[in-house]
Amino acid sequence: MIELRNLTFAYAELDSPVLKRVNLKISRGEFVLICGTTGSGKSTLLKAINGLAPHFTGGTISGSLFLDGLDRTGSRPNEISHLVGFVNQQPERAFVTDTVEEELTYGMEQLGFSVALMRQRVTETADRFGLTQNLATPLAYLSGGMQQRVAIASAIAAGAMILLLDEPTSALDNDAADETLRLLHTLAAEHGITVVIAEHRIERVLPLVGSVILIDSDGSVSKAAPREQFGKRLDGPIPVVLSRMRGWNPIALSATEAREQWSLAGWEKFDAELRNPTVAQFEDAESQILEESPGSFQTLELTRLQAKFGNLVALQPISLTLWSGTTTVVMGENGAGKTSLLWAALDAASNYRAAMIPQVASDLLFLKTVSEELAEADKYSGSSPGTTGEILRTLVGRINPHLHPRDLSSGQQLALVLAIQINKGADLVILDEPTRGLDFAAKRSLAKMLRSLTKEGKAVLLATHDIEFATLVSDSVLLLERGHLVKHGLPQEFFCHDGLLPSQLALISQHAGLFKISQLGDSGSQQSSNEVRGGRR
Amino acid sequence: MIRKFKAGNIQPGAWWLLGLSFAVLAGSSRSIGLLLSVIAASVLIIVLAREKAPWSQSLRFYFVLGLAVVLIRIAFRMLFNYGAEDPAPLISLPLIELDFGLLGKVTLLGGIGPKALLAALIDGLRMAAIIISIGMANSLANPRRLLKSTPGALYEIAAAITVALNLAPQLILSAQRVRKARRLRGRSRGLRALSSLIIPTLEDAIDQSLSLAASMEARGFGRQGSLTSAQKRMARAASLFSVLSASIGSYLLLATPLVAAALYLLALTVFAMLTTLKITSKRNLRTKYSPTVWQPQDFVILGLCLLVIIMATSRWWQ
Repeated sequence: MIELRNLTFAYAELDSPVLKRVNLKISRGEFVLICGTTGSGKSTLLKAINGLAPHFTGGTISGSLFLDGLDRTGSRPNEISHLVGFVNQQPERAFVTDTVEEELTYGMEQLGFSVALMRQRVTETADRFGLTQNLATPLAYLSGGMQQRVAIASAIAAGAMILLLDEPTSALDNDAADETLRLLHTLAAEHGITVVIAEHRIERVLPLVGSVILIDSDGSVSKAAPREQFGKRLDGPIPVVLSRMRGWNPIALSATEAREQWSLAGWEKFDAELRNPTVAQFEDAESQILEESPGSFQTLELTRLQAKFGNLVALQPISLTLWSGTTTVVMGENGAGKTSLLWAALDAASNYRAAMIPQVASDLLFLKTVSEELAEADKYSGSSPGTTGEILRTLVGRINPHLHPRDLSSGQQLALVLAIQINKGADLVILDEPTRGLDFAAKRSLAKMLRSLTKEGKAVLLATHDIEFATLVSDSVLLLERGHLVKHGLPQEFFCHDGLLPSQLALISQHAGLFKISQLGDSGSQQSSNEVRGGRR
Repeated sequence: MIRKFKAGNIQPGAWWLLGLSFAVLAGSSRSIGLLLSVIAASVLIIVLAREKAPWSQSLRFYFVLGLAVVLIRIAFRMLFNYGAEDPAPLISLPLIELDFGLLGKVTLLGGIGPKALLAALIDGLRMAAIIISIGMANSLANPRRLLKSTPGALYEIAAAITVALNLAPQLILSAQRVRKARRLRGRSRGLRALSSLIIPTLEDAIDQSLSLAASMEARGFGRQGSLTSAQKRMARAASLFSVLSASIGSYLLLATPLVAAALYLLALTVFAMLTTLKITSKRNLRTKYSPTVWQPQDFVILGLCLLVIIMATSRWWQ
């Protein structure tokens, strides 16, 4: 269905090509996942298939592209839109009309379908995708999951046999993400639609796909079965990492497979208690630190945090105690009040030095090069030149100072903003959804950054809906639901198999007290040697 | 009753016609009372008919712009009074004469009488009324629906305008977010405030509009069929004819007493333009799922437009 021959894609301003001599064949009805580190060219590969690259992205392309047996090299996206549907990361940004029905018909109108055929297709598609009740609904009123479904349905209605999706689940909560992926799986398996999906959050996708395309940082691309691709790499979701650690063969791709392997391995006797401090032990440790060096262990009292938008109460009044040298993770569904809590905490922390990194960290960057940003940060804080650069180096290693901040990977941008913000001096560092757009390696690198902050005695408060990331960094956890504090406690109270937010490992092992890889021994920490690589979004 | 006249229940084209006819009325008016009524009517219509849509939340912006225009017009009139000293000045300001030698003299300020002030006020109000009438059309007409009912040949221009119109409210949102973020970071003295705000805001907004444009293209927007060479020749001839007849016709109308011949030529122009549009629209493959149907309430608005136009041109009829 899709065939790339010797496809090379390069931007003039970068030394090495993003995609190098790609040879790929994807057959009809295949469900394929594109993987790679941040900035490795996942979305470029997708866009090269429907012509958005180079027609909308710039850059130069060579080699040839065949779709459905026809040479489509150099076609504009609108010339192949009857065959290829493209679904964006944020559908609400890509919607062209106002209501579900209009959106379903837009593509067909452009292709010149007759009204009778459009009516028939709208009815069929709405039925198939469960949108019949919502045809007249304004798109803006739909939930993220429903919006994603409308975007997929519109492409199918216009007759697309190939669906390209760029991180379709990254803005969705867990249930909506599961539902979207199941829908795609059905489309591929039962309706013969070829589905190609680029994702960071691969733990849900991996068990469903037939093959994985891996883009290496040097631009070379390979396609193979998931087990084969992940057999070679330690990087990956928990079941894969666990398989590699314990030498399971074949490796487990899903939590279900991993659970089978786990019970086969006979690990029921595994004792997690030793590595997992109880509440009492935690309090002991605290009093011990207080005895050893009084004054170094500080508490930050944040009282009456609340938020209102008009009549809508986004956050009921909450009082918080944060401890220096620890990380507190705020969790909850979309709209639970996580962001409101962070901003309220920033306001309430006026007695302390607090630094905030908002959801779109790059909003804080506005100069032309990294070195200018660093110099500006030094100048603003009155510290000697090079201080911020030094902080940045300890966080992520060296970054080319002549790069434009917008050309850094998401992980590097985050590190740069973090360095700028903590250079002003901070007792409390607040981060809103810092893991958005980060791959496994970048997340681990972020976890390391946060650990180095807490080691210096800073308190960290961060919001995320990524349970696995939370297990890596949290010392205490806050769970919010519709503006109310449900619970504030230790990580093991949440992430264990009987907790409110069980982690993957907890679900796999069903073992009391076991919820994070590092409890299994040192082999888990080896992964952090894999550093974030830079590149272009 | 009033529900029928909510913004979404009226054709966007009708809102634009109403806005334009208000603008024509304001443009041809010299009475403060009439201008104020046009402004009041526009504001009233916006407030009554608008719905919760991003493009409807800009009334305050047009209002401030209109007020600024009035104030600037009066200020300029006071500054450049051309030495037209009023015998009974309302405001007495020192007269400044600047002599530029060979280039001539410029007089600034001086006593300003009620007549001059009134004239400035009317000029300013007229501009303000035009701005607010167009603002009314812009706030009430849904740009996406307007796009749907444009003829094929103009479709690409209309699409560009739609993308741009979608951008404006987005720009305001991004600016708010970026300003909030910038306050978090602070900035050293000597760094221009504007660049730190404008660069991220623009980058964000341009990203947005590009992603909308890319999405439209990926959905097949701009696909074109082909015309036969006869059709191409015909279209070219018709458009050339319309340009010629338009220029000759307007010359005859404005500079000679041959009004009848002029009107005849201008009518031919319109016909030729419509022919061009019709032929070039054939290049477009696009079909319409739900054809535009004009409802009774649309005709009520159209009737209102007609009334306003008759009022605006009443001087000519007499």
